[in-house]
Amino acid sequence: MVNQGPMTEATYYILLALMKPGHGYGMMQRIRELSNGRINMGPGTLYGVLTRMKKEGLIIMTGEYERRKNYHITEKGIEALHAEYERLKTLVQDGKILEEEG
Amino acid sequence: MENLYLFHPSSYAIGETEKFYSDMAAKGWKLEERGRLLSHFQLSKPSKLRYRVEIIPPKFYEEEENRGPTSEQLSVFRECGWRYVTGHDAVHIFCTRESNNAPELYLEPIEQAAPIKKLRNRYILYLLGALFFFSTYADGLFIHHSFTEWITRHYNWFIENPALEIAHFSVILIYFWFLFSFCKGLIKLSLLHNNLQKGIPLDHSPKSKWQYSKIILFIFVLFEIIGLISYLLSELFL
Repeated sequence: MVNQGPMTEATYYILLALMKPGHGYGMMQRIRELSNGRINMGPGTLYGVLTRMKKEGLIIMTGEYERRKNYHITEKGIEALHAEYERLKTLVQDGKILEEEG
Repeated sequence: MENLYLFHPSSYAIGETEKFYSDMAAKGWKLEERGRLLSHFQLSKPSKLRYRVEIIPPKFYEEEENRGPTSEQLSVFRECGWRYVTGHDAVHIFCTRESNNAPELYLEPIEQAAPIKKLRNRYILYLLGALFFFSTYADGLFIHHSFTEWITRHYNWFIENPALEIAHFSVILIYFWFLFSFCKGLIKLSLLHNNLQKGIPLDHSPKSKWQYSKIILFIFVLFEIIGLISYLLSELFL
């Protein structure tokens, strides 16, 4: 299990989007779909986060097609994503007392 | 005239730079290349273009051809509708047609804070370099002469050789212009960085009279050139 601090929202959604390999603009659209339109990401942010995640080994660039760079999540990235998902579930679980207290 | 060369705003004036290039495009002058002080425009039909500055400070060990946006960055930006136009040093310019409705490069202000901080740090180095240069000049100046002696000596030189003294004085003015510019850049970038961190977005169309500053520099350089040419001519023919 990957031991990590909390993930930023941008990182979380990019990793989620890359469960299906994709490219820049396609990723931005997928993130918008996954978040029901809540998350809009600019290309500047996207590139910055992709660069950092490549350095951390969470994603790799798999190739180029029609001048588009394609990305794929790595095993480490999948592990990190699952760890973050479990962490978020725990937070929500622990917060259920808010509903009980009304 | 199909080509035009104009002074552009300093690298710290990001919003002013973006507005400048957009305004020029609206008048029919498309940006071709950006240099250290001047930008090259080519005559074209008026168009509504959005220009955005991306700060990519080069690393000192990077070779010239490896500086600027990576092919990966160009690919991501291009897919989102942003075309790379030109760049010099840390300032790189991307452009899109208004009609493309391309998303802004950064939708959250805080995301732009990191590159602005890097540019601000460069201005700290510029300022320290300029102050160090001044300290070595002032050190030599005031160890051997008092300020009054310095003024008297230069006044006498002005009487003997006004052209050379004008050239010398212009160099001092140009130095102080750069010193002032570095201070202004550092303050502006620090304020911008703070604002971005607080969630206040960059103003892409600020009202600013940045041109006056460049005109002043141009005048100082002109005096320098006139002074030197006059001195050389007087030495040759007298």
